[in-house]
Amino acid sequence: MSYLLHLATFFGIYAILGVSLNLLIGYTGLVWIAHAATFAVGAYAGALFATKLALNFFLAMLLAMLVAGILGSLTGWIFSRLGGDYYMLASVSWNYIVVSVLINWESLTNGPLGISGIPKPSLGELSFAEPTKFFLLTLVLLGIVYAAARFITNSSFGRVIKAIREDEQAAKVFGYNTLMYKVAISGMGAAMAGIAGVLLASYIGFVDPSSFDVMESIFILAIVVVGGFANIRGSLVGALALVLLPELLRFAGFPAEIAAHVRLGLYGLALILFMLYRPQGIIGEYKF
Amino acid sequence: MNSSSRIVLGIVIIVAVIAGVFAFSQSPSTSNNVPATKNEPIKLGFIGPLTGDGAALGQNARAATEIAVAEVNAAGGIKGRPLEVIYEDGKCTGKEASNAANKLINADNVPVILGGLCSGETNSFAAAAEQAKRVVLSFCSSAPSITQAGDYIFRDYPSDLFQGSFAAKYVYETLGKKKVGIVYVKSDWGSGIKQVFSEEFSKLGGKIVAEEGYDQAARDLRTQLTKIKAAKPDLVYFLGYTEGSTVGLKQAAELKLGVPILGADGWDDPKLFANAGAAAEGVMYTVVSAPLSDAFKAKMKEKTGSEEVLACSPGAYDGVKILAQILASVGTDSTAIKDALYQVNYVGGVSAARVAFDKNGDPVEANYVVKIVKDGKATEVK
Amino acid sequence: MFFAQLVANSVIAGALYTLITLGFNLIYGATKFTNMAHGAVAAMGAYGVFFATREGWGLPLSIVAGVLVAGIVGVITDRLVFSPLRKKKARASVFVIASLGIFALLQSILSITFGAQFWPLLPPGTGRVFDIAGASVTEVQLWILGSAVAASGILFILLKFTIFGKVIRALSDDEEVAKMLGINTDRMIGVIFFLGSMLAGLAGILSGFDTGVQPTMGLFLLLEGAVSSIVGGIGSLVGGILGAFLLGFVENFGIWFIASQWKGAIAFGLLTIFLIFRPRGIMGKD
Repeated sequence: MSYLLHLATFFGIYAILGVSLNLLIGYTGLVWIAHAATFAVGAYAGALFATKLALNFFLAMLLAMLVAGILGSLTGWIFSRLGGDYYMLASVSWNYIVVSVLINWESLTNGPLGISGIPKPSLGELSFAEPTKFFLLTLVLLGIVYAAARFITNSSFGRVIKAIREDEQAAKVFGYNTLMYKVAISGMGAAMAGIAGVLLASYIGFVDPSSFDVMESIFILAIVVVGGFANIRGSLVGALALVLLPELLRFAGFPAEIAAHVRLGLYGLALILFMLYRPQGIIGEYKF
Repeated sequence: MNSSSRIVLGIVIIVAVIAGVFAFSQSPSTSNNVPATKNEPIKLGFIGPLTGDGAALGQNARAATEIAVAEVNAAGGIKGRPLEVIYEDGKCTGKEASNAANKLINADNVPVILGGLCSGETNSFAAAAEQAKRVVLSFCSSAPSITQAGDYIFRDYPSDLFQGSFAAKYVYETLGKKKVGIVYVKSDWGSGIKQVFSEEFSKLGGKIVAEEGYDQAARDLRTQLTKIKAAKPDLVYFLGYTEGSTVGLKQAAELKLGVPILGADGWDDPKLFANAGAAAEGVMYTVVSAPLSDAFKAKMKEKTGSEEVLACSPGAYDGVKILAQILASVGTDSTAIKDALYQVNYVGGVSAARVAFDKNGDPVEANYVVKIVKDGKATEVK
Repeated sequence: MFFAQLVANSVIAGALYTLITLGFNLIYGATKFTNMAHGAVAAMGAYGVFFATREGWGLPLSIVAGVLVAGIVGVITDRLVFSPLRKKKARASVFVIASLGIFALLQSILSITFGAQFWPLLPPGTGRVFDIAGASVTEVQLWILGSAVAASGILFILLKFTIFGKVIRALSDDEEVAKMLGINTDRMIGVIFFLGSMLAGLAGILSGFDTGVQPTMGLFLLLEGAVSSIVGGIGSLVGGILGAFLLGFVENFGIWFIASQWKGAIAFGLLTIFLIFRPRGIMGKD
């Protein structure tokens, strides 16, 4: 049973990633294939604040959100002026640059060895080291992210980013500084992904660069695609489906050496089939 | 209520039920005292890369593990109970290995995890295993950091510290080379050995004239090698895995590097010499001195269909044998297994003349030999 | 002589990127989307040769087979996925995401069929090593250079001087106008996919000869090709060639000055600089 708890925690972390990426892709139309890099920035920032500076988990998390958010705004500012294809390719290259920096900036990130000994969250007497409590913490943070995303997308700000997605020129004509809106949503999405990163780092107790490659970005993209663009609840469904899929394969008795490849193939197939037959995802409202 | 709301509601209910069950059942399963049923198999976990980077090492070690398990079971198992190993793919990455370890600890409730193979794997779940009081016996993780990983964390493979300083002494004293250029793969293993080697070699009075790293996925090392060649070393210390080294050695030959090349235990793979051909002739590498018995080699050949006994396999084989002895004498309580491991003094294995653990769970001895490649085969340098 | 070696390394890298970027640009010109599956198609070509040589086919026949495999896989992706999407008038992002899906699917098929390991495509010791002005260059590398020159030349003549080329250019300029002129644009795009994918296959095969094959090789090839084409001006064949060589030189000379482990990041650094300061590339039109 505690394995279910473990999966549920992973579901929470990936649901946060899915929801935050949906803000970029689904609502604003920015095809960002570097969410794993943002995830990594959050995880590393959290890990470094918690180990090197010995900060409390929650303080480290706020700072990591800040770092991820600032970096997200910055890349948003640079890249989102570019057209769709360029933006997408720029994001892929950004993913590479981030992983390369994590591997090579050894004095800060400890290179390929990664950072181990990341503490579990605690608040005064209350420790979240125990899996149940950690999961509840993840659930609470997912709830906050979910509520924030709902609030953002239902606000007037949300209407503007949707207008940018539909027709950026028209939004400009109406006097909106569309670049600033894109920078803002990039920052917010990144800060939320930062939370997921810190949770992962603390949950596993270890981070290394190998977990954050482009394939991981494609995985997070698949969560959004399966769940549905511009549908926050959909991303929860997508995260649930894709976190459970490998377990189904595992328990279905695929040998481990094949299962990993089958998994990748199924993600790919899901992307193709959803784009062809159901671009709005399982419960999405918006046809991309 | 529309269908999407219903789906979300469904998820929330499922999640809440799971949360509820666990919030009120405040008894995390830190111990694994499952009542021993007669003939029910004793399950152990195995984590190593079965796909992706290092899969060759992982698959070979899996074969060795399977052989050891078959031998234990053929000899009557553990007090009549058969031994069973659950194999999980750690993919040589932290996240996958941690996921696998979580499954082994919580779903399969194994007292012992054999592995991980890569240091990144072992590092990622050491803390979780320590917390759940499960024994980890890695058969190939060599990162120095694992020494301090915890009380329940063991390995029967020596730390890189030993190999790096052995190589430094060998190059400086035995070979008499004073200027070395290093090409190394940017991985926990490559960077770890490089660091120790540089420090030791400089301490001995030698000079590192160039240090060039490359991505584990890189398959074109020409510029790195060109840079090394320009620095005019007396010897090139090349730390790589099979894949990158196959092309690296070929490219070194094409660029006419013209100096001796020394590698490390990552090269202990006949596939490398077969694929690199003439380019690998005359290269040397250091490797843990493993007293492979002919019987073991023959069984490996039967199992895998090739002569290959890769660097991680002897440790995996001995690991199973040691654990089988301990399980037979102390049972499946992981704390008892841990205590027994510190007392182990295992001789006659295939990974080392004697396996015993120090207070950190590291092997007490590390013996290396240098091998040289001649006619596509590695032979020990006397 | 180290300078000569660096120049040689750069030229050969540039030639390989040229082959990838030519096909990439050809497809982009006709379809106006970034085909992320292009690299996986290149890997299919390389594995075609891997399979054929294992079966005991001769090298020339294997190469033809590999190139054809890549071309056919490219056409299949177009027929099964991109053509239906075109009929639905899907957005560019939908194409891109679907192409990412194809990339993942093809890579997993290769891994399941052939295993995830790295294999050299040529037996060791094949081919001579030449000494050109102090630089060591292998026979395979000369083949890469020759193929790139030949492919560029043939493509140039094809586009400039044949009716077929005029049709392709009309299609790239404006699909609607091309339709009005009575061109079966859907079928033409299929032909372009075939051509572009064959070029990708050739690049994959030569890269396999130079180093080796691995299911993940496609992503690297695609990214280098995509960077070349953006730096050169996306959709421009001449620009793509310039971009490919610029990238080859910057990568190889760049790590002369900075630590070589950054090699992978240099390409993307160059891309980012271009995206910020000259997003339309060297030869790009506004």
